[in-house]
Formats: sequence, structure tokens, C-alpha cells
Amino acid sequence: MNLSELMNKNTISFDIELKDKNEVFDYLINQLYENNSIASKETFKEAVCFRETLSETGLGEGIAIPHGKSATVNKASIAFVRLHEGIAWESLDDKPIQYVFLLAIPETSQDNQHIRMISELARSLIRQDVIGAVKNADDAETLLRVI
Amino acid sequence: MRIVAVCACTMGVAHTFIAKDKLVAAAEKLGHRIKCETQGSVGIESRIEPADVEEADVVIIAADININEQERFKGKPVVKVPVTVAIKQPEQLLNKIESKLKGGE
Repeated sequence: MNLSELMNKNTISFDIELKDKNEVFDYLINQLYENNSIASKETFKEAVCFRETLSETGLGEGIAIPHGKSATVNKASIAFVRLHEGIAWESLDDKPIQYVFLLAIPETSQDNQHIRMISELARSLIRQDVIGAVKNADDAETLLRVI
Repeated sequence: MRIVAVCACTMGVAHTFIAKDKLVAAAEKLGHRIKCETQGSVGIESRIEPADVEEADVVIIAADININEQERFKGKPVVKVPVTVAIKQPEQLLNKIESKLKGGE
């Protein structure tokens, strides 16, 4: 899968010290904004927070995929951060979350190809080989190669 | 069991497909036959056809929203669960359904 159309080295960060979910959202949302992926940080954050209220976005094994679907999303995009330390986050296995993929999904479904790629990424993140590779990636280039 | 399933989460991008993968893996492991449709952002994929419904023992709807075309399953035992159940405990779900079906007949 070639995810370089959805994420790039500007939206991928490692070992950032963020203390809770809210800080993670602000950090990743800012990256998406700087990358011109979203038009409004506030509107997108509302969409992400709304999604959080529906069910847990932690997949387990320290990986979470929060996401927001909104008209403020200019293009389907993904921002990633590896946190310095795991933080509390509702998850399928109740373990702390250290690896966060924030998925920005456009409201209109005219971009099905990219939405499918986001779906493929999400489903790959429950596979042990992919989980291991994500955890071992230390730079954007490696991460993009393994997922 | 012969199972047909429909997965649909609220956003239709991530958990819909994870639920499908988990259900299919669990069904194969337990020796069941399964066909699983997804109703996501990009529409219906792997559509359950009338012939699939005809030969199914049970219909599993793992959804957090109202699914489309539920009337296809009229007359079949339908088990409805939240998407999270299919993701978290797919094997327990299938075992429970199997024992209910056996007990009920």
C-alpha cells in the first residue's frame, strides 16, 4: 500500500512528550492544518472528539486510530505520532497508547480511493507483523515503508 | 454454521473493516462458513446476495447504525450486536450463537 499520498514526513513525528489525549489531538490536528489537510482546526477537533464519544479508538497493543469525518477536511490524510510515553486512552485491551494515527476523512465520498487506503491501514494495524513493524520504525521513511 | 454478516460502524472507515476481519478469522478458526458484507463510507462491498441468505443458518449484524437493506434477512435468525463485540469477542459471539441455535431447534 502506498500511503505517501495520505501522509508524509511533515505529518509523522516521533518521541513527542504529550501528556493526554487532548494534547495529542491538538498536536496532530495542528500538523494536519499545517499540511493543508484541514481548513479549520476547531471544526475538525469537534469531529474527532465526537467520534471519541461513540466507542474506543484504541485498537490495542498501544496503537490508537482516532478519526474525524468532516466537511472541513480538504483531503483524506493521516497524521502519526509516537509518544515519548504511553498515555491513558480507551482501548480494546485497556493498555496505554503510545502510537497514534489520526485519520482525517472528507465528508463527501468522492475520494473513495483514499478512503479505502485509510480503511486498509486501519485493518492492517491489528496484524501482529504490522504492529511489530510500526513499533520498530524510528523515522518517517521506515514507517511509510512498513505500513 | 453458515453465516452471513453485515458490518457497519458510524464513520464507515475503520472499525467496519476491522470487525469484518475479526469475524471472518474467528469463523474460519471455529470451522464455520461466513460471508461478510461491509456497509462503509464507500458503500456496500462483498454484498450478501439472496442465494447467500437462502443457505445461511444465521445473520449477524455487527453495526452501530441502522444498516441498509435489512429486509433481505426476513425469516432468518438475526443476531444484532455492536461493532465492538465483533471486534473484541468474535469467538465468544459465534460460540454463543451456535449454542443458541442448537438449543432452539
